[in-house]
Amino acid sequence: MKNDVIMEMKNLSVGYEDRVVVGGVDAVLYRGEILVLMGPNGAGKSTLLKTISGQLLPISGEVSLMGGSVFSMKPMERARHMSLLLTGQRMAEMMTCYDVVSMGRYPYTGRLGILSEDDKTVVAEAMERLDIAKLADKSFDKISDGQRQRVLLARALAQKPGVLMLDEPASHLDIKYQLELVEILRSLAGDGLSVIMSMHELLMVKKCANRLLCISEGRAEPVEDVQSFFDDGSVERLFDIPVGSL
Amino acid sequence: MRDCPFSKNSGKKRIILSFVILALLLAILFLANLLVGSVGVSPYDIIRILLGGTTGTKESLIIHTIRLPRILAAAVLGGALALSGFLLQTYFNNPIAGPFVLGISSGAKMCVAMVMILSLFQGMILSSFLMIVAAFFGSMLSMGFIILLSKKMKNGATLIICGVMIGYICSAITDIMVTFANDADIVNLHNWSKGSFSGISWGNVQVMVPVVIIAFILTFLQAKPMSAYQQGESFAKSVGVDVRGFSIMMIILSGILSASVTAFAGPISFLGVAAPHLVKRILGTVKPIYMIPASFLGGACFCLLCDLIARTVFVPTEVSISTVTAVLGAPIVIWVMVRRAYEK
Repeated sequence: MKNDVIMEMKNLSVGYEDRVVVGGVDAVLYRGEILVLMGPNGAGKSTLLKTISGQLLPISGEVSLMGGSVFSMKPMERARHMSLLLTGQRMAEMMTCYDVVSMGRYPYTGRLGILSEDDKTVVAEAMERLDIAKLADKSFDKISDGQRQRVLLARALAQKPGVLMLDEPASHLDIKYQLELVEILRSLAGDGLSVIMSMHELLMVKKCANRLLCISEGRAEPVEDVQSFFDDGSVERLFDIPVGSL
Repeated sequence: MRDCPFSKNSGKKRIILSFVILALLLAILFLANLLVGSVGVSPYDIIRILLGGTTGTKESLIIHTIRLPRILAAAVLGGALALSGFLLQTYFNNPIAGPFVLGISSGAKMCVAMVMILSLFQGMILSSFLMIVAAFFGSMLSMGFIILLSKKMKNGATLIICGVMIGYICSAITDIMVTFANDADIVNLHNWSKGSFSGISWGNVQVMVPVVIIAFILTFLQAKPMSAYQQGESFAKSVGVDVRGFSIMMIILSGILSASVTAFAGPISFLGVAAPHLVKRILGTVKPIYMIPASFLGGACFCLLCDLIARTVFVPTEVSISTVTAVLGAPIVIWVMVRRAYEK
């Protein structure tokens, strides 16, 4: 089980128009692991995430997701295999948390988006999994940042994805909620969900990453041993700061 | 039916109740508009006239050729305007967006005035359909500017200010045209450019009703992508919404809806913001599947009420519809802004 490849990037080059931001990426994502994209600002973490989530076309190369190609899949089909969670999205007012989570069923519902009994069960399960059942009728704009993060994660789970992608999920959270988020992600990975995310908070990365993908100067280097990466000065070299300054 | 195992299910009851209230309100306002006017007609006579009992009398003529088409137009166009406002608010993710504040109505007004004046010179009568086409063209012109600006400006308030400015420019150009084309025929044009339902004919109604109904149905079919879009454009894209196609639909539909209004009744201020907002508060949700029909009903009610006031408050003089919608609608817009500032 543990060594199933869920997603694979083959000689992938990402960027805009003809400008390559990160090139020649070869990486795999296994079932139930947390892979963290690390690197300085502007190195191309977001561009890579946008590309492997199918939001941006690659310059060259291929990304396979559960056997199919991310780029030739129909958007709705892709959304059943992966959830993308971006922070700082502007949301409309007057939506309950239940409304927000149920939107995760979008790729499964019919023409008018009406939830079937099965859809409702999935939504309920996702909310229970993240312990937010009591928030169902609460307005999404009247809950705390940590609760909001949980609601959005529940929405992502309601998509029933194999891969969860997150772009800087901890950046707006204080340390308490960051720890909580890391706990949740570890427990979801324990259920067999594969997580791939960009993250700046080194402490959190150390706590949850199974493997890293370090992005700098247009290249992506996989790191298998997270602990020694933090211990042997590699992390300082990645961010171009003196070894030992952390 | 169980909606959510944790929810108290109060939402659904409230929505049903809201629709009942809106429908009742619409019926009451419809009757009130039929009854009230400079010539008094008793309720008994009205029923007889509506059932086709009396024809040829002065009263039946007033009801059939003046009040009925006017009431239908006010209801249909009020609904269209509110729906257009709701689409724009969702698309720009801005609760005070609307066809009037974004300058879209004024753009439509400018183009219709241009075509009207040209056709007056040619000595021909403008068809209802051509008016809608001209108004749609003008709407798209303003909308084009707004979309270009919205790409540059992430701040919702500046977008609105730009919209208001575009509106002023278009209105100024319209005024210049109206002034220079000063002619007896222009009197009508002048009334129209201020916004009015007087002079609406059955011919107009026959064109506007199918146009608005088709636009309404097409809008309703966008309810699902709209609901995803309410949670952010990137989210919508990530769950499989064709954001490009969806955006084009939103722009065209809100343009057609507001163009139909401007073509026949001139620019009507603030209704497109106020009506959807009030409806949202009544429903307690922004789900498009409910908001689309409810905005339409709410807009129809709001517009019938305003037209009733416009016709009766200074009898025998009639105020322009925009005057009334501004007095009733603008405070609501201010209230929305203050509330949002307070919540932040």
